[in-house]
Amino acid sequence: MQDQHTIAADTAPGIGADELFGQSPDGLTSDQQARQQRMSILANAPAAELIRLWKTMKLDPGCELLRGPETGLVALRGRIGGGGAPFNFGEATVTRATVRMEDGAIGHAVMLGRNHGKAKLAAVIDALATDPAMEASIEQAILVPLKALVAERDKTRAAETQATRVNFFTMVRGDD
Amino acid sequence: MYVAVKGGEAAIKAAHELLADRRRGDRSLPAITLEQITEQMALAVDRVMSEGALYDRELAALAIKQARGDMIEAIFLMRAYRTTLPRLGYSQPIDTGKMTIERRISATFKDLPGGQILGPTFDYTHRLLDPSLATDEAVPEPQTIEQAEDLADEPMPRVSDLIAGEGLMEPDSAAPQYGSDWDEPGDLTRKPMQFPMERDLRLQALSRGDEGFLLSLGYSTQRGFGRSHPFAGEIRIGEVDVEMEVPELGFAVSLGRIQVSECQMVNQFKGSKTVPPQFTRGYGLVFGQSERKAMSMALCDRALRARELDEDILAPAQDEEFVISHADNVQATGFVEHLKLPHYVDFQAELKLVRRMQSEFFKANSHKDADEEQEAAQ
Amino acid sequence: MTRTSFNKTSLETSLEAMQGGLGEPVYQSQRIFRSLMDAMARPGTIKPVATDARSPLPMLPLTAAVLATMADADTPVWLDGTMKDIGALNDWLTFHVGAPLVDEPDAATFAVLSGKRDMPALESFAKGGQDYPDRSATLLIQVERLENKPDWSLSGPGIKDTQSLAVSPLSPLFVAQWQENHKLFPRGVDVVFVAPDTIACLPRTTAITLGHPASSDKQDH
Repeated sequence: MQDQHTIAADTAPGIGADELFGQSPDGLTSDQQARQQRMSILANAPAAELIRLWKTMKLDPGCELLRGPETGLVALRGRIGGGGAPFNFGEATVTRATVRMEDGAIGHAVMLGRNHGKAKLAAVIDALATDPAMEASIEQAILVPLKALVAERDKTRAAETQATRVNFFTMVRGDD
Repeated sequence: MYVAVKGGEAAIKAAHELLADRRRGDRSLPAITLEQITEQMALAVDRVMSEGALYDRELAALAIKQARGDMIEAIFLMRAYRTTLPRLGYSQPIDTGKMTIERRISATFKDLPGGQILGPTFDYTHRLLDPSLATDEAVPEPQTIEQAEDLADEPMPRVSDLIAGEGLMEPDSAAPQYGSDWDEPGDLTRKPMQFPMERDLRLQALSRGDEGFLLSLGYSTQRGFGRSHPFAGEIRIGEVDVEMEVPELGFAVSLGRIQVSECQMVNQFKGSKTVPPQFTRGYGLVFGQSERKAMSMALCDRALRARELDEDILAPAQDEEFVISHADNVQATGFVEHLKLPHYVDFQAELKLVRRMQSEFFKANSHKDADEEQEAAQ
Repeated sequence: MTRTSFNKTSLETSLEAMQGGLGEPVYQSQRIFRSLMDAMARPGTIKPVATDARSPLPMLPLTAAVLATMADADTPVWLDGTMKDIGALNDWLTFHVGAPLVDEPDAATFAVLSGKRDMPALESFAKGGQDYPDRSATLLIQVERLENKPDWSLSGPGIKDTQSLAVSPLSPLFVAQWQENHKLFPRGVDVVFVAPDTIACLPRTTAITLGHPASSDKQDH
């Protein structure tokens, strides 16, 4: 599963899923799970590619900004020893936006970095995808290619990284 | 004593213009771009993010450019920038066990599950300067292997978990009841430091601490100043997902990935009155690819656990207040460099004092000399 | 201890709660901040403050705007019984302010309360320590009217001679509690009175002397 680090909802149950969500992922409705996946894909997407794919949809919907786009900080936490009690070890820039479309649909975006345009576009895409009539076309035109892009990058990285894996062979030693 | 003086505005303005000119350097050369810095000076960017305690590659590159490559100045710029932003929330603790690995080695187990993966390391290079880099020669694409996904999917347990089953390795701090909350970790960016300090705050201070300072302290523990018999149990570098709960949605979403370096240092421990002999651990976690810093942090973390583990506190690296109070290079540079600011009035006072003391000294000595002469004459 | 996990009021925030944030939030919050700073520096002066915030009742839009200006994820907020369990209000604060809501008054950096009779005692809020007197609460007390009538004669830093102030409605116990609070200096809480369109501040350094409200009423006749 190449994209297991990207797509939170793909996390195998039982492996820290409880820590991730504060509740079982099964506690989320299918709409919520879809939104969680969608927001994650959009957050992880390169901005240029997101804009390019959006343009292929040839949409120009009107929307109102309810909050943001605004940049702030998220405090990043690790765990002592890797698996123990949490500690703060730094911060990262994060940008979020919430929009309302003309039909009243709400969309959210929150992502690392400071790209206001990307956050607003991601929120618009999130809002549009809440419309069952639009969901499939957004999935095909934007989400599937973005997911594939990240998967492809991970695949290349893995192929390069695994080429540096050490294969030990034991030398014959001594005279006995 | 502080006295306001005016003047120097024109000189300061001219100095800043001169700085901008010298920063730009020879105009016949192209200006360095932020992309070039993030791509080709990546480890400098990592250091600025780590000690600036702010993960943002582009900003770190800008800071390096603006600081003319002065790392501590760049770190200072990052720290100053972060104070301008509101905090929007707290991430879920990152899970380094699910890291997308770029490097993973262990000095304690040869054949560990998931393998030893060297990644893009300086180790095993001959440290010979490479003249080919002086020109823009083509660099070949790296080797790849087939079916790498299968290898990458192999579980890669933390080394600390491998012998934990035997009870020989100190486990991670016990989790509270499943599903219940851990205590909120402390945050030294929000509350002033107080000693003694809990380990969560110490780790935060070490993670943003100066690499050189921690490196030297770590080295001192190896040389006998607070011996802790360390082994590099595991070093892993790679990307982890950052997730945050979004309150208006009621669930966590992925915000993207960050690169981190993690070090588990394994240390022999003779045991105390209550704890049996076993291996204890020091922990290091820093932004970007920086295993030297992660290792130094882990050595210092372990040394600073002396009080908790009932060890004698004899060496500088074990002295919590000494280490934590002096690890921050922005604080350190502020206090050292403030000495160059005008202290004219302080110095006048000192000058007067030293003049007086010196004249008293000579006066006393001349009396003494005179007495001695008198004695000699008699 | 600050509770940094976020409020979970409802699984998905309602549309109502997502509307009515500060328009041009950067400019508006800077303007409000300036007014608050001036009002705190000149205790008892009544500052008109405009906002386009629309918060669910019974929180005044101006109280909500002050919170949006001053509070954030690191400043726990406490709401009194009239506001505490109103889901739409909690959602609005979570979405637009992002501050955690706390149940214990002494855990709050900001507390919002109605000035009416059953107001909780000032001493139930964080007063800071002798080493860190800044770790104290700022109370936003919602009232109907703020007037420069001599109910109170205020004195202290930031006031040249005396400053008159009348606040209504306000718990009859307030003045006695304030005298205790004033004595704690450098510890103690600070108060921002919020009326529908105006604010006035009482920092802990300000002393209240009771005036003659009856006589001022007579003057009106």
